[in-house]
Amino acid sequence: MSYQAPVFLLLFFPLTLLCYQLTPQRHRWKTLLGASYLFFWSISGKLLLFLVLSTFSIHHFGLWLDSIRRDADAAIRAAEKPERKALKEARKHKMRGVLAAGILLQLGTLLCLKYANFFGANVNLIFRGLGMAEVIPTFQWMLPIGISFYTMQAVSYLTDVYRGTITADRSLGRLALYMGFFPQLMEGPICRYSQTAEALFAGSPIRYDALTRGAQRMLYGLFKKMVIADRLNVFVNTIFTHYQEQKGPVILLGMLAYTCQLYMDFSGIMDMVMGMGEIFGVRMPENFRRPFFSKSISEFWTRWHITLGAWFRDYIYYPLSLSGPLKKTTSACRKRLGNHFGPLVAGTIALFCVWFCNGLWHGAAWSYLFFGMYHFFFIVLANLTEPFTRKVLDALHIQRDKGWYRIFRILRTAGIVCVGELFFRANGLKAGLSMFHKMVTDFSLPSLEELALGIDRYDVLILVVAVGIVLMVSILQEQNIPLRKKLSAAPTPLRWSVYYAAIMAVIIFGAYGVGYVPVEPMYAGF
Amino acid sequence: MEKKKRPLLRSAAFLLIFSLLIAASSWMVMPKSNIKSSGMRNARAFGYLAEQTDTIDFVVIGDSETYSSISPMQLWKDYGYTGYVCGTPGQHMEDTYLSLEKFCETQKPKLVILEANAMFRSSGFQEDVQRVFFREVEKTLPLIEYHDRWKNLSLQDFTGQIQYNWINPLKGFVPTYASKPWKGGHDYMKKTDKARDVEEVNRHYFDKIASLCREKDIRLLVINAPAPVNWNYQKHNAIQRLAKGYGLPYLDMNFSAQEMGIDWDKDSRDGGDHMNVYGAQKVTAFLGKYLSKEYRLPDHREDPAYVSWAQNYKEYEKTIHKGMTQ
Repeated sequence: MSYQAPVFLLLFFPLTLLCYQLTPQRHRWKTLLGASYLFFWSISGKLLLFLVLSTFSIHHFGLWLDSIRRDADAAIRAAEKPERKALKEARKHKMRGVLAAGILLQLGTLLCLKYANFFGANVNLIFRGLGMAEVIPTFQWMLPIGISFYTMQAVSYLTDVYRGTITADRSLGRLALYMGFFPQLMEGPICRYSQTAEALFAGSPIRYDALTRGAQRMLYGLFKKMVIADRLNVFVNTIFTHYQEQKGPVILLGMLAYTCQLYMDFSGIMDMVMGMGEIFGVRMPENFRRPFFSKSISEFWTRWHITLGAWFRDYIYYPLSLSGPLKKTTSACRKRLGNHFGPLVAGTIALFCVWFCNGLWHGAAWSYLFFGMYHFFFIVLANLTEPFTRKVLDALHIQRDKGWYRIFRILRTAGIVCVGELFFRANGLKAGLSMFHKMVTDFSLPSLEELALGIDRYDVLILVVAVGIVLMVSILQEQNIPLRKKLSAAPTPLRWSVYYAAIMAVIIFGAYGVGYVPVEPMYAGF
Repeated sequence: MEKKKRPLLRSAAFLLIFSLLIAASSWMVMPKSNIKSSGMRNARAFGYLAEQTDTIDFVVIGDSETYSSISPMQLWKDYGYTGYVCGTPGQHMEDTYLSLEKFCETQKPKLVILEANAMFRSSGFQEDVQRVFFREVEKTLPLIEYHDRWKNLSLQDFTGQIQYNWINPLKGFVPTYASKPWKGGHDYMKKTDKARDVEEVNRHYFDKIASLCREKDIRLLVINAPAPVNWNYQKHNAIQRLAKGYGLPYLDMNFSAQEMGIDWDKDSRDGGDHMNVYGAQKVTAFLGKYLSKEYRLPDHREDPAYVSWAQNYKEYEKTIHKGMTQ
């Protein structure tokens, strides 16, 4: 059961809303938790146990961290001044140990279930290369839905308790809901405890305004997912599966179509998730902010899968770049390389770790690692060439954020992203390289028949109109025009016409039913 | 009070207009005829919609094993029975039930023959429930089922009435002439006491089919056509026990393939998955003999009300002959 499935939209979600509203406020979190676990079970069955164990584990470790802090703080207060430093050190040491154990348990489960076969296969490859027998067997483990997402939430919770930015939650139910709230289970956003736990537990009643606004956003998401992303599915699959038979321009089209599909799929589901949250009175952090208007790769990652980028920033990049050894490296390099290039060395080391993890987070395959390194390369390149670029632009009197140069930067970034997505989607790194090679060397024009890969002219028409609508909405949002507010203030006939048109567009032009392969939310697979 | 009422009234008005829109669009996209070009899915299986009401005595329901193995026109020729095969490819049990329900809207069959291969088609309980729900939605709102027809709408879809006027002379049977041998021979039914599990959703629809037949006073016969790729003893045991529980007769023709003279080198179109026309003739002859012995279906060959069936038979014969000689 995924968010766009009829059984979810017409049965599960309305029933959950009804039960939630009928439950007395102080028990509403139980209704939400029950619905969330039912949702998880409907997809992953018995693997629900992993989520439950993960929740128990962070509950226990969180309380443990808190009790260490409380006891140590009491001891520090009672101790003489000279002893305090030693006690503080002991507290830090102990808490670090507990945090490490808690995180290891979370990441260990993820590593075992998601990456064991990847690492095993590569170790076996080395052994085979050395003429030895394979040592690591292949495991047939099932992956619980959303494990990559809820594990990140679990780690952020423990780290925040360790840092003292939040206190450990005594309520197991509240923590369970924070970990397993059904709208965010499949694809995030990756929330922090401080962002959602209270609102989820509060059980605010569903208000008419929130219901209509949430439904609006869900509808827009459904439109992106079902009319655009799912309609592109056959076209994209055909090109990426049979890339050897395609000409260069067809591969180029496939690359653009896949990038569009992924964006519409992921951001569409996120719109639905945000809409559901809004209905329950839970404001989750946004995951997308029109990423294809980015002027650089760094900016792109502050607009695309924002919560993942923020997680890596807060729990890997900052801790690493502020760690003792890297701080020392920065000071040493600053002396030798100056104020621009000096700090870049340590920053680049931390960035490397971030992008290595980012690539691996997306999947256990070399193509994902390549994807991470690809983005790392362009970010580092931009950092290194920044002084030179600035000088050239100043000399030519070009303003980087205005006019044609701005458009050039946007298109350049989009181009780099699209090529990255080609490798991301290709069936392995070898296939990705082969497709890229063909795309940049084979310019023979395909015939119309060669382009009709599972879609006809009507599909193309629908896609052009639908993408045009999303683009128009994005441009208006980019100009800070409050579209939803304007729509809410519009006269009823106009407003309702927009709603009816959107609903009918999803029903009539949505790619579902006989003749279409159901497409699960694409990021749920990561 | 007035303020509280407003959202309710607005919601009701919104939903009312929405319902009207859905109803109008549903009517618009619904196939206006029972032919393929009008958008009717699996039109072959719906040729009975153009038959005179209450003229068909038996109906065969199930998946692709039905229309590959049983030729109603052969039974017309040999016994004068009127029958129709409503099976469609890859059918799930909910569709099998729905096809029977729809058939009974215009016909009063005396016998329902359920081919039970689809009883083992399942994607697991959760997936099955979702699929069934979607099917129910489709059934309620034709707009959902036929939404993709916007690509082929004609003027008649906006102005015309629904008219089912295509009679299928093959009565749902799909003859295929190619052969691909099954190399496993006749002894693929290895005896065992074990029985395969039948998923809950499929059991439910089996029960619904049995109840519908009981309610409409129709006799129900459970069968399996010879299909060594799909069938085995464990499945046989499961269906036999299920049929027994309902007090239903069960004819598993996988045990009789040798007796009916199936030549696995020539009589299957795809290596033992389905019969071709030669295999179907043997299966139909065997089934005919069984039906004539166990059921008293009327012989309509001399009935002037069934002249069209005699004409259809000529067309059928021509089609089969042409296919066999090409």
